[in-house]
Amino acid sequence: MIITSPSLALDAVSKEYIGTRGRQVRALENVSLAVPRGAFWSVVGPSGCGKSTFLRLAAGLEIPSAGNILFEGQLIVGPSPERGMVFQNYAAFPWLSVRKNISFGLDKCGQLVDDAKVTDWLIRTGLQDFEHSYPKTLSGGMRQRLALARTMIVAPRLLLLDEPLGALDPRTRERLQIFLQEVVAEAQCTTLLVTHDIREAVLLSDRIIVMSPRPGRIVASIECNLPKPRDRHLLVTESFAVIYERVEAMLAEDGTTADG
Amino acid sequence: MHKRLTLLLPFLFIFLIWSVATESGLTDPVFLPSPQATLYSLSQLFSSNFLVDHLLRSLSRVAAGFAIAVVIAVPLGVLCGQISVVERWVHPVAGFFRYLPVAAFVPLCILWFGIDDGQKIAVITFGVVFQLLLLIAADTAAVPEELIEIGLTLGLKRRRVLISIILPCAAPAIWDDLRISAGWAWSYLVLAELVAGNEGVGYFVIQSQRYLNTADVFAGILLIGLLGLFTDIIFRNLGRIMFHWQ
Repeated sequence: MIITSPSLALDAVSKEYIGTRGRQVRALENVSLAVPRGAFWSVVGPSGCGKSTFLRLAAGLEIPSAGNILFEGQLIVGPSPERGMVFQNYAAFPWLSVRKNISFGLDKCGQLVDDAKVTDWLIRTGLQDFEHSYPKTLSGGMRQRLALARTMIVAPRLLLLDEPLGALDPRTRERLQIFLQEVVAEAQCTTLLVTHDIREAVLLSDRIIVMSPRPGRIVASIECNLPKPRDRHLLVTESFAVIYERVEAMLAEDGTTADG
Repeated sequence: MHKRLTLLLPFLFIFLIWSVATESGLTDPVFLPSPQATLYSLSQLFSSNFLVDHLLRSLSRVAAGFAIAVVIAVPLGVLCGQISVVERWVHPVAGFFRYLPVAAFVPLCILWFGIDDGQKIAVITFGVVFQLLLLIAADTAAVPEELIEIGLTLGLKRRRVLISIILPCAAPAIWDDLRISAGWAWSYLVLAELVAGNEGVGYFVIQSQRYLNTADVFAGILLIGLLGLFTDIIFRNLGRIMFHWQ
C-alpha cells in the first residue's frame, strides 16, 4: 500500500522576524496543519496575522524559526517551480512583452519554450491580442491573469495565492474568481489562497483556516463542502450563508479577545 | 514649436546683455570679448587644425577614462546593490573615496602617470568611478523584491535572477547614471588638461589665456559646454530607443 503524504504539512511552525528597532516580532506561532493533495484551502484573518508569512514559508522564500514545513513529504529548503506563487501587486516584468512574460519561467530555466502552450495560455487569459504589448498597457485584471498564466505554465503542484485579487474592482474580481476556479480545477493542483474576503474564501475553498491577530495561530478550520463548480448563484443560497456566518463569527470572536 | 522658441528666450536675453556690455565700450575686450568675436573664434576652431590637434585628443581621453570607470563601476555597483558581502566591502570604501577632492589628486596623478594621456585618463576615471558605483548600487538595490521573488519561485537560480531580472530591470536607471557621469568626465578632463598637457581642449583654453586671446578662451569653454550637451542628448535618445517599454 502506498501512503501518500499531504501536499503541504506544517508541524509546529513558528516564525519570528527582527522588526524595526531590532525588536522581535512573532508572525506565526505553533501552526500545524496538513493540506491534502488537490485541495483548495483559504486562509483568512485580520491584517498582520501572518497569513502572507505562511505562504512565503510554503514558497520557500523564508525559513521557519521553529518547526518543520514539508512539501509532499520533503523538507522545504528554498523556492522551487513545483510551488508556484502569485503575488498581490500583480507585478509583471515591464521590459518583456506579454508573451515573453508568460514564457519567462520556461525560458529562463533552460526548458524548451513550447510556443503552442504559450499561445494556449494567451487565449485562455484573453490576452492574445496583447501578446506583443508591454505590461504597462494592461489593466489590473489583465495583469493578474498574466501573473496567473506565468505561474501556471510551469505546472506547479502547489499554487500559492497571496491576495491575488485584493486590488481589483468588484466586477473584475468576481470574473477572476471564476476564472481561477477553472484554472485550478483543470490543473488539479493543490491551492492555498490568502484573502481578506470571506465571500471569496467560501466561494472557492474546500476548507477555510481562520487565523488570530499576531502572533498568528489557527483559531478555526472550517470545512466548506459545497458542490463544485461554483458560481455567483451560490452566493445567495442558505448553505453559503451558513458557512459565511461561521467564518465571520470566528473572526469576530477572536477580534474581541484580541482587543480586550 | 512655440514652447521650443520660448526655451531660447533666456539665452537671447543673456546674449543681448552681453552685446550691450561689449558694444557700449564699458568693458575691455581683453576681459570680456564680444559675442561676435567669440562666435568668430568658435567658427575658426572648426576650420583650423584644432579639431585634430585638440578636440580629437580630448575626446579620446574622455572616452578612455569614462570607459575604464564604467567597466569597473557597473559590475561592482550591481553586485554591491544586491550582494550584502560585496556591499559591506565596497560601499564604505567608495563612500569615502568619493569625498576625496579629485583636484587634489591631479598632482599625484602627474607623479604616477606623467603628463601624458595616462594622467588625464586617471583623473577622469578617479573622478567618475566612485560616484558612479554608488549610483548604480542604489539603483540596483531598488529593483522590486517582488520581481526577484517571482523569478525564484519560477525556479530561477540566483545567478539567473541577476542576469534575467535584476540587470534588465535596473538597466534604464543605470543608463541614466552613465549619462549623468559622462558630464562629470568632461569637467575632470578639462581640469587635468589645464594643469598639465600639450594638447587638448583644456590646454587650448589655458594657452589662449596666456596669450590673452580671451575670445578663444570663451570659444573653448563654449565648445566644451556644447560637447557635454551633445553627449547628454545622445545618451537620452539612445536610452529612449533601448528602453521603449518604459
